[in-house]
Amino acid sequence: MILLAVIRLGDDAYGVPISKELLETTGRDAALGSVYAALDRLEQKDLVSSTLGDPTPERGGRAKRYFRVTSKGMREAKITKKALISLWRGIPPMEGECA
Amino acid sequence: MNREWSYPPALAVWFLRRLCPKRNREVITGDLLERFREGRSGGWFWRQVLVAILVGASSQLRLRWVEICFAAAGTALIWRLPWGQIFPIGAMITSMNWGARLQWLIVIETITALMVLPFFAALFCLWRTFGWANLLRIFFICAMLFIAGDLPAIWWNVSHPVISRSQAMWAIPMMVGWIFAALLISARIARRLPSPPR
Repeated sequence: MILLAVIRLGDDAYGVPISKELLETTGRDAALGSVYAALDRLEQKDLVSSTLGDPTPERGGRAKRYFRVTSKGMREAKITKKALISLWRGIPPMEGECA
Repeated sequence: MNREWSYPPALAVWFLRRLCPKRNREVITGDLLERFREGRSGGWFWRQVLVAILVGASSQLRLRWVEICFAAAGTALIWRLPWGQIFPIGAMITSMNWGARLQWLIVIETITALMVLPFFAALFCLWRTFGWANLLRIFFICAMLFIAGDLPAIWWNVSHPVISRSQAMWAIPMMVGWIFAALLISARIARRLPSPPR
């Protein structure tokens, strides 16, 4: 989910928009500490890369850490999407859902 | 409410800046400050800080599990040794002067550091940084840390020659804690030592 949020946000993917994106799309208020832990794991696997931005006054002079999906990350996301679609195809319509 | 100039709980920021892992400390502090100024509550800020510290600690545990296991095993080994039989100094130490106590302390802690040296050698082999110079360095560091940890105990022993049960309740965990900390610090330094030239 975090990888998809980074893809959706493009050039503006740092902690705050990523957690807001997760809140809007999943309804879950993910803690920023957990978001960064997941992003660190994705970076270790070379699925995302990060760069430090400039410090801003509204953040008390602290820099933002921007994330970008790598080509390997994009490939992995596509593979996962394909796998999920084919898995969903085999499942009969659930209760309250159109066929 | 315009919270542009509001400040988050100072104690929470203090905890965050000291207990959150260094890598994400600045960016998480900045992100939390940004969201707090968008109108989040102090309670929300505290929750975020606690999660950041706990998640950071668990990721450190995952990254440093070798050092932590090493320190725990070393502490258990040192603590379980029958020191009273090896060095029957318990009865003697109170009658010694400061110089003699210090000499004993250096001898005992040097031997303790020598005892854990084969385990450090195993760690170096695991990390492929084994070299005699590295082993010597870590031996000195470990011995120094052990001695530094024992100095307050020796000083305290001057005024309290006999340890009561209630004093042992906090003195023993402190001693065990220091052995663990000394081994953990030594192992972390050992990990940073460079590979010897081939």
